[in-house]
Amino acid sequence: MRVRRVNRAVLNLRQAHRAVWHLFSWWLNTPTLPRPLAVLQAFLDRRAEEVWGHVWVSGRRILISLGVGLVLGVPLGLYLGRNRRLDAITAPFIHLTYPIPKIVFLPLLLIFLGLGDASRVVLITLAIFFQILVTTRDAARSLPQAAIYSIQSLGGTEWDVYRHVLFPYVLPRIFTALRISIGTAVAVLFFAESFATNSGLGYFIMDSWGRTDYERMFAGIVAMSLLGLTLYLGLETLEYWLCPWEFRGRAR
Amino acid sequence: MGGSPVVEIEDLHFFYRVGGRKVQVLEEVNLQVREGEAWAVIGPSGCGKTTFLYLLAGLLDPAGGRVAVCGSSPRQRQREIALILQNYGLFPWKTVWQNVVLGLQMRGLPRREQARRAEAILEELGLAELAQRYPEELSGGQKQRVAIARSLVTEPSLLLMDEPFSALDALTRERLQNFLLDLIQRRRLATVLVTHNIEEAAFLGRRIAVFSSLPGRILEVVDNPGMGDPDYRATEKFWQTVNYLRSRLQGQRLAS
Repeated sequence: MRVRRVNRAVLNLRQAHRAVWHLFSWWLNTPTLPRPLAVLQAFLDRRAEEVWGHVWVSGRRILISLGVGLVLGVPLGLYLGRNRRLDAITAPFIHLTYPIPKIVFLPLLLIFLGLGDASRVVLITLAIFFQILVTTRDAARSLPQAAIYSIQSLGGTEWDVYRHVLFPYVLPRIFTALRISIGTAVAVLFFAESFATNSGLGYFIMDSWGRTDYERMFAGIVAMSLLGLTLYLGLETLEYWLCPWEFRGRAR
Repeated sequence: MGGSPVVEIEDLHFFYRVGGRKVQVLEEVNLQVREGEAWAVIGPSGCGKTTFLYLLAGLLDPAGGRVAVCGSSPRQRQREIALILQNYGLFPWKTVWQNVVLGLQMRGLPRREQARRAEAILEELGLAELAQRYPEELSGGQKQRVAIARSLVTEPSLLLMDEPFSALDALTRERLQNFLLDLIQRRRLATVLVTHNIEEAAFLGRRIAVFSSLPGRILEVVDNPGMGDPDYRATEKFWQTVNYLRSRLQGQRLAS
């Protein structure tokens, strides 16, 4: 239900957006702001095939980063949230490293990991890992003691606490963290791809800019926006399937 | 009533540490619950009743004295004890069905056996149609029945309840009290019910332990032989018991 509403909102927004864009490009009449139709053409003609290749490269980088960030951040966050002592030991470290803008490590990563995919994936992972870790940990900390008593009194072990209580309790908030992380991830991706590489949408946009091929550049920008949007809608759908209780029971 | 003791409590002590200071919560509590016996524990709020129940459930360990359920420590007997927490303790992310089979699932019962037992108990408690709902989609009384189903499905030897009906309206409460009475009598289940509601204690406790305010001690154990009759509330004996309990609790409050 909610997904459909979002979809409709997106459509309306896109129409409005296209109208404004059209108006501006007609009014300004400069090659830096091509008409939407021209961009669409750039999308569809032979240069388009190029775009899709870069979309695939960028999408893969983001998905791997999100996957690694989740696999590392969620279990660690759950564990820290449940173990007060370890939490107290690690909290200062997380506190100090969390606010550091991770993108400043790009030069270092390029030196250590080379110019390939690895350095860029690691950079995005670094940026979102902390967001996922901190959200998960804080959510796990807030689990009411009564819920733990409830599962223990049913004969649950520590593993059952994680599986049946802590994880499902935290899951909706992991989705919230991911929604925020996607914005960060796409931004970091753009930065990571704009330097010393020849693949990915970041490169494609910067390269088009350098060639003053604005239609091609806008095609890249649109593709990047669509990438973010697709990830976002994908998350909404996934949450709808994995946390059905969040979407029900509000009627009463 | 006879039968072997399900719960034995000898000289139980417990305290909490609040900022380095010891707060004595329970003092010299002695009590025996026999097979099939229904106990109610009543006392002023904050007298350690809930703590007492958690000690019986093996969620907390005594600071002194001994608690035994079926001859061993409650932690070892956790699978024979069922506890219904004050706010039902249902998991909002699990459907009624998933909540009910959870205890069986964690005991490693075969799937088919889980389903057979869960179906039977849901049928018995009139919850069969609600199986696919989430707790948020239920009324208070329905939630409480699901909580009861979830604890009885594991066929425990001891049922512990913390203020089970306090969040319900008066009519629903009485209906559920009768319902519970019927269930525990048919199963001859040993129960300990903690409540601050005097009428509830008189209706559901064959024996009623009156607790003092902090530190909680047992002031008196009131015998309540009339308990067990579904129409007990309409008798004079019931109101005598209620009035007696009330005077006991009021005297306590004035004294402290």
